[in-house]
Order: sequence, then C-alpha cells, then structure tokens
Amino acid sequence: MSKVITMVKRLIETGLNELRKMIIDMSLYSYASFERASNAIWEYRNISNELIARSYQLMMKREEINSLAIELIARYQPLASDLRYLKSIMEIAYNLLRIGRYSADIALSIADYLISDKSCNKDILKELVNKVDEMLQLSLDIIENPDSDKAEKIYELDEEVDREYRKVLENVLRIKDIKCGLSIALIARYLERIGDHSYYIADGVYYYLNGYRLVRKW
Amino acid sequence: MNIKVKIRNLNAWYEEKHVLKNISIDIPKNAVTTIIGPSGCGKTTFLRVINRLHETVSGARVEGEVYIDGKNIYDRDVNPVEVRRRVGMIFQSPIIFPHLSIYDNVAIGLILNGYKDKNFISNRVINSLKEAGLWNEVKDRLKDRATDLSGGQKQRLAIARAIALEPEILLMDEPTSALDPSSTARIESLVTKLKRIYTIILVTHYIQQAARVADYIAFLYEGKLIEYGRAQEILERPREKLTEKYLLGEL
Repeated sequence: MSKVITMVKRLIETGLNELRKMIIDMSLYSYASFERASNAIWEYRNISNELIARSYQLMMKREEINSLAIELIARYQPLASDLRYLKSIMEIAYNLLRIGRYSADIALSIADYLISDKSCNKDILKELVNKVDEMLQLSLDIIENPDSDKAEKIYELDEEVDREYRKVLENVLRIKDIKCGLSIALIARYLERIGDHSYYIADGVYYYLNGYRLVRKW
Repeated sequence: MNIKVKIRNLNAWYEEKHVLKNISIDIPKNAVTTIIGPSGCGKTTFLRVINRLHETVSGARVEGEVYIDGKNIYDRDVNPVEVRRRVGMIFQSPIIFPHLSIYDNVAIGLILNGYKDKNFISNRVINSLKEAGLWNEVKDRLKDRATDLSGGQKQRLAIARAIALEPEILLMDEPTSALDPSSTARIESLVTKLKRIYTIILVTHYIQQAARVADYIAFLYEGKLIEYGRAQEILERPREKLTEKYLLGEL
C-alpha cells in the first residue's frame, strides 16, 4: 500500500513567492532601462525624461519589495535560507534601482553632450557595452534561477568589465574634443558602475545559496 | 573559548529507550547555550544529565563523561547533592511552595542546604531577589504568600531561589513556555544579564527565543547532536540539512 504523504505548505511561502515575482518583474524593468540607454548611445536619441521616470518607477518597486520583505520578517521571523533570501532580495532590489538610475545618467549624458556632436566617435564604448550587457543578463538570469557557478562567472566578468573600462579611459585621453571625450568618459563610468551592481546582485544570490559572500567568504 | 562543561560520548536511557546518543559537546563559561529541537528529541534529558537528576528516575541510566571545570561529575567520589548545588535548575512551571511566604520561598533552598545564620540568609535572599529582577516588586510584601505572585514573578522567584545557592551553572528547561509575552521578555532580559555571573544552558522549543538570547545553539534530533555552534551561524547558515529543515519549520 502506498504511503500517503501530506505536505503542509508553510505560511511564509505565499509571501516568498510573491516577492520572487516582484523581484523578477523589477529585474526585467531595470534591464529594459539599461537596454534603452545603451541603444540610445548609437541612435543619438534623447530619452532622458523617460529613463528618469523609469528610475522613479524602480524606486517605487524597490519600496514595495522592501515593505513586503520587512512584513514577512516581522510576521514569520524567518531563519536560515528564508532569512538569507529576504536579505538578498532587499540587496538585489537596491542594486536594480541603482542600475536604473545609472541608465538614466547615461541617457542624460547623451542628451547633454552627444546629441549635439554627432561626429564624436562612440565606437570605443562598444566592447564595454557588450560586456556589461552580458554581465547584467547573467545576473538577472540567476535572480530567476539561482546558480552559484553562474554567480562566480559574473565575478570573472566584472574583472573583464573593469579592464575594458580602463581601456576606454586610455582611448578617451586621445580624443581632442573635450565635450566628446567627457561624454564618453562619463558613459563609460556609468557602464562600469552598472557592472559593479550586476556583480553585487550575483553576490546577493551567492550569499542566499551558500550563506557567505563571493569574495568575502565569511 | 573558556569551557565550563565538557561532555564526551554521552548516552542516556529510560529503561530500554535510548534517549541521548553519543553526544560530545563543549559548553562555554558565562554564555547562554540554548538547546533546540523537536519534542521528544532529548532536550530535557540532556539538562537532567548535567545536574545528575536523570539518575533519580527509576530505570534511568547514563554512560559517558560530563566534566564541570575538568572534573567528571559521574566519578564515584562525586556527591550528586553537591553537583545539584553547583548546577541550579529552573523548570517549565516554577516550583513554588504555596504555604511559604515570598521570602521563605527563596530562603528554603539555603535552609535545606544547611545554612543557619539568619543575617547571612537574609542578605542572600535580598541579593538573589535583586539579581532575579524581582526585589522592587516584592520588597514591601516579603511576608505575603508567594502564590499571590503572577506567573512571570513566580518564575523569577524560582530563579532567585536557584541563584541564592550561588550555583556556577543554571539549567533552564523552557522557562517561559507558560508565560505571556511581557513576562517572557523580562525573563529573557534577565537571562542575558545573568550570564555575566553564571553559565546558562537553556532548553527552548521557540527558535525565536534562541535567536534572542543564545550565544551558542545546539540542535538535537532523535537524541543525536546534529549541529552546534555560534547562534548567528546556526540561525543564518546552518551546515546540516536537518538543522536547515528544522529552522524552516519543515521537520
């Protein structure tokens, strides 16, 4: 005779599932901001107002996530992986907000400098944009499907992004047009910061899975 | 870590029932170590072994070593009564002598242990009531019956009686399980203060209580010590799957 096993659903599960949906939604929204900002670099489009509005949206999404996470902590006093998950989610939400904000900063730099100077050679940013894009996509992927190996891969990509960023700055020094050079340097800086925040997302996922940090393994 | 209690290969039985299985653990001095685990995992038996109360039950048996300050309390030359004086115990339901006053409920422990000097006893009673955080509430009614006290006050009175004997270790067996949240908070606050003087081993089935008061946590399951370590580490990143499941409420 087969054994009948009754699984009791934990009350906190409903809240954790809701939080999971909210953070995935926020990550898609944040990535869309980045995608629009990086496309605008090549298209000379002024989308700064739109991206600033989106960054306010991200702020609200983060607020909602934090409120629910704190409510779950207060209600259920979670421990072990539940507690780590909630800590990670709040960290990740902050990093997604920052990514949205840096995307808006890229859009502002384009609007302030690049649109009026279409002769400015932006190609030196291409490799950096591609690497940050790859890193960010991988980070967002592990929010949905947590994976320690992928988190470690993101750590390696962050080093590549930093190298590429330094390369861009070296090239900027050769640009004679100050306005063009400044805009390229600023955009590169914002991209590098987006890379850092992608790494922090990976770090948050890694902590949730393992109980210690990617680099600071305590 | 300054070790107060060192336990090696501890096994305990009630008749044929093997309730503690080969437990080895080092319990630090002046810290709160909480024992957690599901009902029937051996938490209370673990406490009762440390002050040799377990052997007072017919059919109960212990094997292994329990060292307090390096001396095995199960050696033949050790007097169990002396062990119980050094290792005080607080129970789930406070033991109150209903026919005695508040003062006498504390003094009785001293009197039964052979103390006769009235001044000495009086000073000890007052100091113990102060240490137990009860003095201000009872100083004007020491001759009243202890049964008039609230549940939380009775538990603090039981603590006062235990500490009047100046034990080195306090064993607490679910000391707040019958108390309301406010009395629970007072006892928990008291526990964290008392650890400066005593080594405290506290059994609780409230994980959140362990989270609030514990410096170290030991997780018992079916008589075995599954995991032991610093409270924050056990609660945030347990190493063992069983501990994780228990903390998540999945056991």
